[in-house]
Amino acid sequence: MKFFDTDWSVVFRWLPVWDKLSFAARQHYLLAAPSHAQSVSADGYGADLSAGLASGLVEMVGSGRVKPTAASVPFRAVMAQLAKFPLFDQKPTAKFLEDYTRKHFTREESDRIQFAWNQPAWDSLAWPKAFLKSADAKVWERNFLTPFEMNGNTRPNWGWTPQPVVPPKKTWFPDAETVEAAKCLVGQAVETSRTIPLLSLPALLPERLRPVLETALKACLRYFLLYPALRPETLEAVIGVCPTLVYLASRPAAVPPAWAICDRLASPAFRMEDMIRVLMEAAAGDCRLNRTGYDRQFFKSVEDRFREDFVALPDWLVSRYDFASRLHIAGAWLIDLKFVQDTFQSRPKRLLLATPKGRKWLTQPPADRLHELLFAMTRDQPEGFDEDDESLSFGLEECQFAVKAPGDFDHRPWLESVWRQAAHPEVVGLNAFLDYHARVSNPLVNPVVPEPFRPHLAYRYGSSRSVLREENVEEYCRAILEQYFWARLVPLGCVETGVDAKGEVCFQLSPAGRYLFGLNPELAYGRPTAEAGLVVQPNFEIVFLAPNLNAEIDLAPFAERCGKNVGTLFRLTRRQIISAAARGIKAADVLGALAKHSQKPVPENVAEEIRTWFAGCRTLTLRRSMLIDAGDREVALRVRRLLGAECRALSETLLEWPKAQLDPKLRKKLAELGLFLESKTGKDTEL
Amino acid sequence: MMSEFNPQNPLIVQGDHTVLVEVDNPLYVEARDALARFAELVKSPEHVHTYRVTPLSIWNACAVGENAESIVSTLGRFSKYPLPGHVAASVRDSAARYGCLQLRRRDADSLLLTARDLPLAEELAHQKTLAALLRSRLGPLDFDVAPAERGRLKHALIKLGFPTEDLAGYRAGEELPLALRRQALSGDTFAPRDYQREAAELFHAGGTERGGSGVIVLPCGAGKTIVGMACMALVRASTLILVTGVTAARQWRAELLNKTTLPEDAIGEYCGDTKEIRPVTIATYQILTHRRSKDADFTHFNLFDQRDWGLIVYDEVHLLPAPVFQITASLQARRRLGLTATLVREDGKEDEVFALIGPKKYDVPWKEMEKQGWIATAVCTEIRLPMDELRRMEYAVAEARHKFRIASENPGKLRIVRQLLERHGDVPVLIIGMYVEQVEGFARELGLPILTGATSQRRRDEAYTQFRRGEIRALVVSKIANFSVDLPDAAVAIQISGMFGSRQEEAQRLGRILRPKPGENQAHFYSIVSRDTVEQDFALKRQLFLCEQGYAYRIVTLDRPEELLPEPSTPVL
Repeated sequence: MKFFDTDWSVVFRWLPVWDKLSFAARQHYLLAAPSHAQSVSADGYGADLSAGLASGLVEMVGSGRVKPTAASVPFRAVMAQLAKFPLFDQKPTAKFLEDYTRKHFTREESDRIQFAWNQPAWDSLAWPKAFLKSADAKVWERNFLTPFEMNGNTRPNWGWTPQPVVPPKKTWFPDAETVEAAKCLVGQAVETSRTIPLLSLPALLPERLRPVLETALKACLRYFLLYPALRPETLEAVIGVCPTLVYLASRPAAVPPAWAICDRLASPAFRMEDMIRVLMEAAAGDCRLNRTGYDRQFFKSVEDRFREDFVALPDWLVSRYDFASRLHIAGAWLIDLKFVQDTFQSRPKRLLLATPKGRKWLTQPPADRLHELLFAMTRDQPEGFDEDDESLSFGLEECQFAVKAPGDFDHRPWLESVWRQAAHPEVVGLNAFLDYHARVSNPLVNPVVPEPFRPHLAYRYGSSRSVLREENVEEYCRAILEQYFWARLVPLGCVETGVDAKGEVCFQLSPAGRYLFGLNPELAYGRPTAEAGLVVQPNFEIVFLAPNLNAEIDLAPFAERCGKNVGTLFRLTRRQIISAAARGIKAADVLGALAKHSQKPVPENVAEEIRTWFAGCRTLTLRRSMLIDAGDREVALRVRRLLGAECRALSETLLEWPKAQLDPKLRKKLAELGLFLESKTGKDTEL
Repeated sequence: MMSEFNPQNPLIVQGDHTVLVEVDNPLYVEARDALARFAELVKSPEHVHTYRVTPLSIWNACAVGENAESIVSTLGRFSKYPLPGHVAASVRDSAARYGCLQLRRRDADSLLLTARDLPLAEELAHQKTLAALLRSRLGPLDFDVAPAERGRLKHALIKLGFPTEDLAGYRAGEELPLALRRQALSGDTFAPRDYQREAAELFHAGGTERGGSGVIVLPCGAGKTIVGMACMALVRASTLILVTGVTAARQWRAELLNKTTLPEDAIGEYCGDTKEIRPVTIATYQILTHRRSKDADFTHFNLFDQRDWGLIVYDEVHLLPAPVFQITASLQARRRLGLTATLVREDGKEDEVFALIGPKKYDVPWKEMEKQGWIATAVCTEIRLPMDELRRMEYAVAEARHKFRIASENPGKLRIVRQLLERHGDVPVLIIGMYVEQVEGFARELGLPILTGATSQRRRDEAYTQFRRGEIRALVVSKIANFSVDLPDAAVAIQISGMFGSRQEEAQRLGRILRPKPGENQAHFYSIVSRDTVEQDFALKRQLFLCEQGYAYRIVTLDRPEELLPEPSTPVL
């Protein structure tokens, strides 16, 4: 224990004076100057100046300047430390508690408690109760003493842990009175589940135990049985059990999330669009990967093309989905879904190649493509599922919520029931929604999932592991809901998101989301957007007067991107249209998409030019055939007679056989006529 | 950030310094007028116009009293979205450079270049490109400059990113009493239109050194010659007018006589066989750039020194040949006026026009002039005609360099021209082609007079006169129609072949028909191209240019070589 291993009697000496000061005077004493050595204006104490001077809390050091007296400096130091962590006045997140722990305890001290074997979790109610139930506090504390405390100066080395010395060199409970006083304090704190003013602690103890109050308090602080803090609103010193427990006991009733105001929502299924872009490159055979390197690393030129073509996201999404992660996940999903294969093992040139399954998916209408993705992620894991395989978990190693493997808790019904509740016409703040539903729609609150099916959260607190308990199920469920939102619903366009005036993320279910949760019978992807705010110009430029991600997604397959967000985002070029035609897009599709999004009619010359470009595309049929060079006209006639009408004369001596190979029987017949075949390529077998 | 979105505003300022202006926005006119002061109009297609803020445009604005904060605040006031930070920064940076250098007259034989601070003066002193242009250092901030290097120095400084505030003034030139007539000699009442007067006044700038050099950009048919004459009337000094050809020279002469008080003997022609040097002299670019051999000096460059010219007018400045740029660099003490319909130069030397002739002083989008009725409303139609099978085969096996000509000379175009001539009744029609054989063939088949480069000037003048009087209904012309042919009554132009998609050519050819028309004030511009050929590909460039000028462009595609045009009732025609 770092700072709190101090003389708490000083604190209790000055607390009665502190109690009489006004909030402003307390603030002035504690916070007006960064150091006790620095004087502050006497005026800041107001009417309390005389009381402060009379009590000896502060002293005059010059005209109108005061500073803490030497006797009150230790008190001020403790109060300043308490002020740093308002443990009971803000939501005690894991991070917040971890900061507190790091500040006031050594790593060994906190590890011994937080990772104690076969003991209740340190942040659960069972923890102080276990202390209260312990018959011998000295035996109880042996579980949590550091090696240094156990063995004095002998410190453990790597690979060797000294045998614990019995009795340990150090104890925080030097006598029975201290244990009794500590249990008395903890018991009352557990019972009330609220904070207790530090000033009232002496009154909580019987008269005989008051002399050991400071020792008992230190022991309680050392073993995470009690936590001290200043209330920021009053600067009153208080203690309580674990802040998580106090928060749960004292927070107000849950309130449904209020409607938010957010006028610009977007629901791009950008994950699907990213996958399409990568798959298109893979289908064209141009998706080169570096051979070196453990991960899939795309060729720089390929990556640059993707960077150019990926759908631009609004600012509030860009920070969460950077280009590198989008590309990585798009590639991973394509592989997981067997839409592409990596030729790393099979070919010297490493490529991502589209599989027949991937090509088929690519040719489907957009809504069907999205349907397949939406439901791929809700299926059970197949037989022989390898937990290390990213497939189907789609990179969400921590909670495989959307798939069900033996032994995993199936979150799917719960997720569906929660997100269905977002199907209202108004937008709500994401944090408010998550807080509310983690609390009121939490399936794990009571009863807690029985032990065999408890999901374990890996790496929640840095490198530690934490078991699911009553005290943290809300946080756990909230994390799953939030992860589901960012990893599935947003990338697949199931929610329309935006930010309100304060920059808070807001959302509502999109038509795709409603379809996913069974609220819409049909999947409507690519909404008609009357408010599109884009114009197709006669000079073939497409100008976005306002961001419109849905339009961007619709136009990107056939228009050349030349900007992001707003302004001239696309240009219709012949090269791009021909490339679209190669992918099976029709002139009517292009004109339809333009007409749907443009707030002005598509200019006639643009429409006509697009039709012309499409009309200029032809499909050429390739087939294999053999050329037979007969050498002279007579031989050519003999060969034609033998081979029949299928054999076509290209000239008097040159014949074409419309197949890749010649039947052995025909070869034999030719040989019988003295006509022997010889391949120019030197591979006679090809014939 | 999102709360700063103002959808009711008309501008989108992009990170690449372009500014998009929404034309249908109620604040469009106000925003356009504000923007025009410091941004160049790049293109003006139907719905959204594009301007660009460049260092040149900012310096130009600073020269007329704008400053960085007023520019930034204008952009911010009309913008839908928050102004990109770096755009505001670069505006401030560019504006800060204006005025850092001033060029003043020191005495009769030297100019004084003054830097605002010592670091800049040191930078100039150490620039190798300036070493030959700065005569000596007179003080920590001052340099002595030879008057002959004035143009080259300004150009070199602009290349370095420092515009020079040229306050050295101009030579007054030989005085010339000149005024515009209120009633032309032809008997018509005459007065310059408002925009013509405004353009001339902007150029003249009250006779101060702030004006006196610059370019006026007006569409063909908008009366650039009249702007030139109005400028001459303001300067009232002997004037050298440089034009593209003899026809243009004659037209200038005729206009000067008709609309100004200049007597006939005050106007001289300097072209071909005539070498008159008078108070107002009209010379062609061709004669100026004549030299006996490739390495010889230009024979007629001394024309610039043969009189004390107070004003030099460069007609069709976008065609200014490189040697004239060189000589212009040494003519910075004389007032210079550039006139053009487009600043687009196929050789990309727009910056030299800016540096040596002067900044753009006046520019109005063609469409604006059209709305105001100063020029005719033009309907552009591209007719795509397939070639017959024989010609397709010829085209298919031809070498790439011959394909364009084969497609251009598609004989099927003749049938379409006939149909268009019938359709347009008795309005004057110009049929314009690039290949002499082709235009000769068309003239022969249609029984129309033809003008090519080989046609004598007398014959040309006769034909133009007959055409104006309506005695000839249609004229077939070669490339000569691209420049300065004043055909006031042409209402229809039919382009049967063009120069590989030249935007400049397209602007000129369209300009032939833009003069205001009686009645509906409607002109038609047809381009006939062979379908599915390189000609169609090149036509796309021209199409883009016209669209970016704001013209609706229609395309009629015929499926068979013998197919007729759709009936006029069809919306496309």
